[in-house]
Amino acid sequence: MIIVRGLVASLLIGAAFVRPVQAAETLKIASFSTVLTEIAQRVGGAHVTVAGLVRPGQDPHEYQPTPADLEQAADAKLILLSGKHLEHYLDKIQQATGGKAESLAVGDALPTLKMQADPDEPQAKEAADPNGMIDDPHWWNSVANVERATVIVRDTLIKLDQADRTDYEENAKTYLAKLDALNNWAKRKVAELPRDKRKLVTSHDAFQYLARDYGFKIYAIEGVSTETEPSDRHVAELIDDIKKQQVKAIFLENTLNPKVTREITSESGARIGGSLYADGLGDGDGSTYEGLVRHNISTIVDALQ
Amino acid sequence: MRGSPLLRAVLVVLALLALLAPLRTLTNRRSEAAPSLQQAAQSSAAKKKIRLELTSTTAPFKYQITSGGQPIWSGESDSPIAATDLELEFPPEGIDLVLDASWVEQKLTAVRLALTPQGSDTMAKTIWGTTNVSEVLTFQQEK
Repeated sequence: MIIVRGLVASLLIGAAFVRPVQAAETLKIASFSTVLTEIAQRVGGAHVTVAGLVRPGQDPHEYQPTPADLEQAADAKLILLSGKHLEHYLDKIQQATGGKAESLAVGDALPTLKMQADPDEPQAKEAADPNGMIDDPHWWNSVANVERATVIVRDTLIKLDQADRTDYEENAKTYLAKLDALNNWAKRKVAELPRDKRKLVTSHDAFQYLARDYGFKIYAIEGVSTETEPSDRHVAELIDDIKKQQVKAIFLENTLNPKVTREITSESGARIGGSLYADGLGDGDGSTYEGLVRHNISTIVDALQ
Repeated sequence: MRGSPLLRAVLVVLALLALLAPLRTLTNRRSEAAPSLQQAAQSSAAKKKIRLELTSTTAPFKYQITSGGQPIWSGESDSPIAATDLELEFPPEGIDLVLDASWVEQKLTAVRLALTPQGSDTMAKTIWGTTNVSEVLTFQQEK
């Protein structure tokens, strides 16, 4: 009898603990963008569980979803996509989810800048206009765009979960205030650099949106990677451009052939300004969006002064 | 080819030596030009005489104008208008001036910064705040 009473008591206590867990069931989100993962976490707070499928430091251009990633996507109620043709594996996601989850390509709702399509990427070729131009997918390098993306994510969360509307609005307001302060800091930091020195030479054409916001002119080093050995002519033209534009520093990613780097810097007189986070969150400073922006802006301004 | 093997070897060596000079010129061409970049980068835009005029709808007010990370004009004005003349680099790309101003009274206030390069038209920007304003203002001459 004592044993039976004990069992009943245990069951009742157990039930008391189970109820709140069921009540606090969260909205499952699968994110294919490191920046959108952060936005969803900040705005969704305790009401969401976000699976960041493209991980910090991972190249979103090269990412391919694993079967485990697709399983998580199939389990989600909301799928966050970067948009602007970045996800070249959309068909796989659609196949995995059967179109059941709400799919939100945030970048597609943001103003677009155009860039030359990479002829080696079949997906980019398909999306290109008759002049070979495609939408530049690197919208997150503009703080103003990330603010717009936050509003889009907030509104979508409210649509999917009306009950927690107030929390989503409050969380978004807090995050937007931080982004606004970050943008003001960036403007003041960039203002330290005379406008005639705002010339950005990078090994990856990913900073058009940043350039538009803060008055930089971009000179992208295209077709120079560890996989391709650039021609002497290409390098010579690049060196001439750097000299003509009186650029003091160039910004490279680790994909650039070190031999080419040495040649460009020694012969142009420019120096390596540091590495930038081009494709979203990463390790170190770039583990948060605020850290990413502060790192990129400080690195650029300090090197070009 | 007839002739002694020694003579042929000497001729080959001479031909190779003759090629050395142009080869050296070709490979060193870019390196020799490098210092010009450093010199060019240091030659900044020419300084221009510029008049700055601040107007605030609330007085007294404190103000500071920063250019290139350095304060170039600051003070406190009892009257709604303060002005100064100074020399500033004004490249064709324009300049960014950081305007910080504050006042004691909590009151919606407009602060206008007008910039007049000598011999050119006046450019002006107005910002609003309740207790202070803090903003980067870009001035570009029309082309």
